[in-house]
Amino acid sequence: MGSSFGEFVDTLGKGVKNKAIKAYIPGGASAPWLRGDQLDVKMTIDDVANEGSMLGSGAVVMMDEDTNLVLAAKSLVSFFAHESCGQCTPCREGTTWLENILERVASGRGRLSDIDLLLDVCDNISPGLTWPPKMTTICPLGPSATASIVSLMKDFRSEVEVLLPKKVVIG
Amino acid sequence: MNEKVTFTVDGKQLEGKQGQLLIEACEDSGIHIPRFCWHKRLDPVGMCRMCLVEIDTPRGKALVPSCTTQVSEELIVETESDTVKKAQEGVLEFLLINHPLDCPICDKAGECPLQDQTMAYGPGESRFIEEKRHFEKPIPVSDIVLLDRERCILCARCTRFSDEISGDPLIEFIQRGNKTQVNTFPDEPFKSYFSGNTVQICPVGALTATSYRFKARPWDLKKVSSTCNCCSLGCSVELNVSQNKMLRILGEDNEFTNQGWLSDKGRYNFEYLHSENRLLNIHSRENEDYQTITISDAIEKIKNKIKDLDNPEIKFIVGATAQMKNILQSTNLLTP
Repeated sequence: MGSSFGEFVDTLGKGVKNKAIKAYIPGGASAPWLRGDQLDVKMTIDDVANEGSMLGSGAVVMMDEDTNLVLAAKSLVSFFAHESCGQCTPCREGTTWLENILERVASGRGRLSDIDLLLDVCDNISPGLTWPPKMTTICPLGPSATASIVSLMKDFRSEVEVLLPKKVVIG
Repeated sequence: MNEKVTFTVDGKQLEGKQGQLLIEACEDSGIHIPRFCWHKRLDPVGMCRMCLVEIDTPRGKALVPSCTTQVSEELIVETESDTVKKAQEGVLEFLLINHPLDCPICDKAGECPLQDQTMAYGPGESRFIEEKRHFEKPIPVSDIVLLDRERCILCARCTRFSDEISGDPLIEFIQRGNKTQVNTFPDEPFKSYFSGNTVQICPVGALTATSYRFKARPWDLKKVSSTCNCCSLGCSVELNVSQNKMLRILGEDNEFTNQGWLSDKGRYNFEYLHSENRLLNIHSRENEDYQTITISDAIEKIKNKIKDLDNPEIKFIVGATAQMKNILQSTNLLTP
């Protein structure tokens, strides 16, 4: 506590092997991602909250420049889809739908409309896509699934766009 | 409990009782909030999320289900704000992505809350291009009830009914997450004496009754309020008739008798009406042989029989299901 994420990885985690860090999750699967250039954020509740994320469960995940962030988001969403209890509609249907769309996009079968669709489905689970999240669900599990997608679209949109078909302009 | 509270809905001052559910208090004042899982005779669960409304909380505006929120003094509610509309549209889209949309062959089409509320609050087009959830359809859960798990929107009305009202919880949710489904226990059918009620309260065509399947369209039915005559309780019923044929009996909500419920006997025994074995005429036994006779002939016969007796003692046996009118007529006949 108190040292920065960069120091934390370099000392306790013994650093990242000759790679730059592209993004990292400061506190568990439900926390919004931070970018690699935000490694000097201090590991305190307030500092992380100021950056729009949270320390949460304290599970820090570093993603280096080789990481496919779409697949990373997909595996996080899959986790929430699997964990959903199925009681309320937005979480039961929404998380699985997000998982399916991300899987399609990651495997190159995405559509141009998928970015808007992903964000709008997230918005229907967590209205406004704010942090801390608002929710249409009973518990915060559903909105947690949206955090990684919102981070992906906010900071790493180009990684999704390269997987989508090019816009064809006629004339 | 009966203390009055005033609260605001969409800028209008309304009055409700302390502890009353918001959805109920709004309904009493003529404000309809869409819903699937909420049923006024069942405990609220807040599962479908269709009745979301926006209320003012100390931490800003929040979306809450009106079926689990109690009215309180100075509560400020928005039922038609943009956030609420967006949330309701979103919930409907979520419900529809795995719904088979087989309305043209569904018995519920025409009186389906999912259909009606999609028209009123839902999105016009689907954005779902993935494969839908598939189940074997339909599966018989008992001799009279069939279950189509693809149509099911998991509102828990049927499971709550069998748990809370009839007290024989033979259908339950199994699995979880996206695989959640309603089903019976293995090797144990939904053998409830009140199973037909689940068909009536199902907000989609997931539970259907064998006697009504593919028989009619709701808009073709003539609806007549009546009283069930299968036992002495006198439940209020709605008879659904089409082309002079009884097709279905539904329970009608009557606070003093059945509260909307009906036993399977009262609901499904109408099939005798159109049975081939039903006696439609008066029969007279002549030398071990039955002959059809007219009512005036029958009365004449009885009159002659009584005349021939010296000092006759006449008694009537009135069936348990006879109406008050019949009982009164028989007593009038017997007392000079």
